[in-house]
Amino acid sequence: MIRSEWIKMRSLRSPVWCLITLLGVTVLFGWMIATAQARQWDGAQPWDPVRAGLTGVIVAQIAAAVFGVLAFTTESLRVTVAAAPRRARMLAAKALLVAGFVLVTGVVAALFAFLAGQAAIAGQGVPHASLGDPGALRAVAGAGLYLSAAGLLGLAAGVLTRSTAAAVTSVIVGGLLVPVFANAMPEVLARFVIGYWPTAAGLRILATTRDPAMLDPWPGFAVLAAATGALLVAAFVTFRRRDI
Amino acid sequence: MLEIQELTKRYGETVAVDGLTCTFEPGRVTGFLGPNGAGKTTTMLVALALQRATAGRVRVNGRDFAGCASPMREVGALLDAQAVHPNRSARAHLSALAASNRLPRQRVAEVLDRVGLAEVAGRRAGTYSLGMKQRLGIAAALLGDPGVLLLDEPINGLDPTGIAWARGLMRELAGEGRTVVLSSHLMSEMELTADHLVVIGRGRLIADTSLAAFLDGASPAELLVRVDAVGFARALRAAGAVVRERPDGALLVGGLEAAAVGRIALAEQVVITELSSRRGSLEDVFMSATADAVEYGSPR
Repeated sequence: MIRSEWIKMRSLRSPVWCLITLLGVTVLFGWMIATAQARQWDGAQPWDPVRAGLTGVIVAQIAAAVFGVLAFTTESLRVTVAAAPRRARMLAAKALLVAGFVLVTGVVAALFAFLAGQAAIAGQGVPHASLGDPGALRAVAGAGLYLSAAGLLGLAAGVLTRSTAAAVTSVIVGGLLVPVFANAMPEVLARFVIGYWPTAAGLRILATTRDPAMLDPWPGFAVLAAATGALLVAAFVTFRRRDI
Repeated sequence: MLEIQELTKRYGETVAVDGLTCTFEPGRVTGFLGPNGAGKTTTMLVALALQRATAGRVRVNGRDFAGCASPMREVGALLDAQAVHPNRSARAHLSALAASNRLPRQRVAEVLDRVGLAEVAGRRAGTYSLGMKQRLGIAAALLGDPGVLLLDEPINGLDPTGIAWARGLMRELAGEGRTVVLSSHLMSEMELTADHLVVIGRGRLIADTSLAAFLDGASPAELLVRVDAVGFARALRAAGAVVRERPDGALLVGGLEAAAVGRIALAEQVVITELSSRRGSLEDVFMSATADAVEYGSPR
């Protein structure tokens, strides 16, 4: 089953482009944002150079999610499910490949982003981090994990909506826009979204400084992992039962 | 062998298949016919476990299809030739299917050869004509060397050579002892290919019979008679025949044997220049058998 999914994935060009985009965006945006934030830093506010260099992940999660969405929506379901009626196995194989490919690409991308970002920060004469610093390696690996979760959210959205457009839209709105517009929400809601919305909480895995208003890295990521797991379970249950 | 037992499938209020029971036997090509919306495709979708039956069940070689370990070895299906990703090559499409059933890799090359796509197997499926996509769909159905083949409209879009090839292939597959289920709206083609017919309308069984019996049963045979004299029709009518005169002078005679027509001609001293029996075509018989079951038709 995994071999079958692997053949499907490598025989199309769109998955490769998603991963290349993911890599490029993580590095490029990481470098740009790190440069901008280092320039604006006044020396007084708490400064997290690792987090600054990995900010491109927020944009790259769209590429990861699209990769997950396409893994399902490019499928000719009647052909493949007629050939392999154990649907859960097919979906599990897809989930494994999506998670694996995005994780590896994500970690590589985060590594490059880290190096480029820290170089940019150092160039401005602002305190920067090195890979040996506490939390730095965890943040780099965490970036891969975060993107991997985004890929699985995309896969689940693809299964649940059965439409590329609807799935991509819901991932952009749910993953990116909700936390961005949190400040425009009523205060109670805003505090909840900023602290506990899965993609916002999950980003804490990139942080190397503590913030009393936010979850710690691993608890934060656990919130994202739980939400991803719940959506995947929903996707499995619906996909197993529905007429196609 | 494919057995449909008391199958019912509803979509909300719409009843697509309504208590259908029939058996598709191995070793012959069974034409699966019905007007649009009769429930042919739905029956196939349920047989392939793509959709759940509301009631009843479908058994493949005596078992439930959904539980098969290597389903492609049991049933090969062609539901929609267009259902191939346009950017994927035929070879990759078939390889992925083969891998999902742990079929040996050389099967891909074998079926590509058998359907005549070996030379274009590396091209993106989006560049294929409909006829080529049909061949690819047939190749996918043959991949697991299955005992049962479900082919929905497999000859749409094939050119005359392709149609003749497909006809030969179906006959060959049935000859190898497989169950071949062939749905099509091309009656003339069905008449040449099928041994047996299952006809449904509005989700119910209309006929489950051999092609020959279906053709004989539904339309009384007519004779086409041409003579070198006028007034012969009156003599035939006097003998109890139903006679229609065609504009070109030929007579269509019902209710009399050819020998009786010959005897009347002898008695009338008329020379018969043409005498042939006209069997109703499958198209005629099909239309009269399913007239009540047509969902979308122009008023008559």
